[in-house]
Amino acid sequence: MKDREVLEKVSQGDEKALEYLYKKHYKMMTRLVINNNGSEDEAKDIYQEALVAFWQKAIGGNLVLTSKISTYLYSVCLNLWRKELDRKGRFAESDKEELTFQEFEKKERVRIIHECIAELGDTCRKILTYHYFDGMSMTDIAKKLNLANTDTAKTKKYKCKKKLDLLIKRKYSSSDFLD
Amino acid sequence: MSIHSEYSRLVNKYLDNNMSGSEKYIFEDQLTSDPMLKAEFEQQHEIIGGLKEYRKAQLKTQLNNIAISPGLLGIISQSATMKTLSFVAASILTGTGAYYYFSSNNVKLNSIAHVESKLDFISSPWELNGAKGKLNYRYTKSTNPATWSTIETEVEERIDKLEVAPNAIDFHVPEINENLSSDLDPQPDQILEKVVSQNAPFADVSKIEKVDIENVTTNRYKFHYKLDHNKLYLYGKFEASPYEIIEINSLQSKKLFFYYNGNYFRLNQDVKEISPLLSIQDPKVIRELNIIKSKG
Repeated sequence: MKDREVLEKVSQGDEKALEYLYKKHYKMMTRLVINNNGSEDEAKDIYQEALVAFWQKAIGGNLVLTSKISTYLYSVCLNLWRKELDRKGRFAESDKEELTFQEFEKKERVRIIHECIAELGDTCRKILTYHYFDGMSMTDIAKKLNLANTDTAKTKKYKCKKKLDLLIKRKYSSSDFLD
Repeated sequence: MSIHSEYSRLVNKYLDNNMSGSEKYIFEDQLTSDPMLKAEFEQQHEIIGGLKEYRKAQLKTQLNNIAISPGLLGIISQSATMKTLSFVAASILTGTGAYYYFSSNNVKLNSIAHVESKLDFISSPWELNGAKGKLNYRYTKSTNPATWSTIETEVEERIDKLEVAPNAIDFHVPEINENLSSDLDPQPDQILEKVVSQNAPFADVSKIEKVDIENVTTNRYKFHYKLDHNKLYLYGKFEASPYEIIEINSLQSKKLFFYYNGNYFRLNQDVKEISPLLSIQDPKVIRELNIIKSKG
């Protein structure tokens, strides 16, 4: 598959194209991190982060490629790994940072949010994540999920979001996160 | 509609970017003055952040479940590299030691009639009994000319003691004539051995210095290079395939090789001018470089 073809498929939300891209450049991108004092797991994580960022940008229509996809991914990986090394360096210099209560509380809230998302039905979860993370239009979501039309997708998205809000608020209340 | 629902509706409208310019302005203004609205905004922001994180984690898991065929990744993992490079280093050292030992003995036997004066012969740092030898490889590879200089693998190999009989080290060898001295010069096809065995008694122990690389795009040069102050300038387009730098460090010298598109090129450090990259033709040198490269 040529770069243009891959980009077109990715921008349409084709996850198979993303998987194809992952396999294609896996060795090259992970080697970058491994050769720079990274472990294989770190290498994988950085490459996946880079690819997901590429995916998100491509679907949102915010990606204008002026180079090969591999060059683009390479520089994203490199930047991410530099940041990670920097973070690791700073962490090593300072004493082990302990979470403040606010940070701990935030982590707990995020955990609850994830729990509630997992409780949603499959369609709801897809509509919301496609909309908020992938930035897909309601028309594309309707097509991808075989919904009748854009309006159906919009209504469903509204209901799903309300349901999620409710689930979260309930759990927040029981965990004393709401005053 | 309760005030909470109204706040929630407003915040969602704002976060979905569905507000007109004036609505947005009013909302943002209200956000700074109304703590309840602010709290709702922060909560919604967190929920949307959670949805994003959820999807990201899901995509990453999906990618993580893709089976990648094993191979190069395992080979280049650091521990494996260490082992294989140690093996290569040890082989080269043994070869070099044997080469000098036997060459020296031959010289001694054959040229005894030409004795004019004596010189202390120390074949190479590796053969000094009890001395410390050091062989360093640096293997740098890249796939992206713009960013590649930070990618490197470095393996250091220390040999504390080599088992060489003392009389093989300290014997005196007569000064030899030109014909015989050629026996001591490594042949061109033994260039790699030469790299690790050259004896420069007054030179300090060489340090591994990072070679920076810059790709210069120019119409004037198509496949040229220049080495200047430990920096390699590449002139031309090197995008057709990944290029790699092989750096072989011994105590006193450093040799650089450039690999690109299936060919090896010697990077001559004495060349300060922009010079064309000329590929190495000698099959033995290529074979040696292939070994080092495959262990990279």
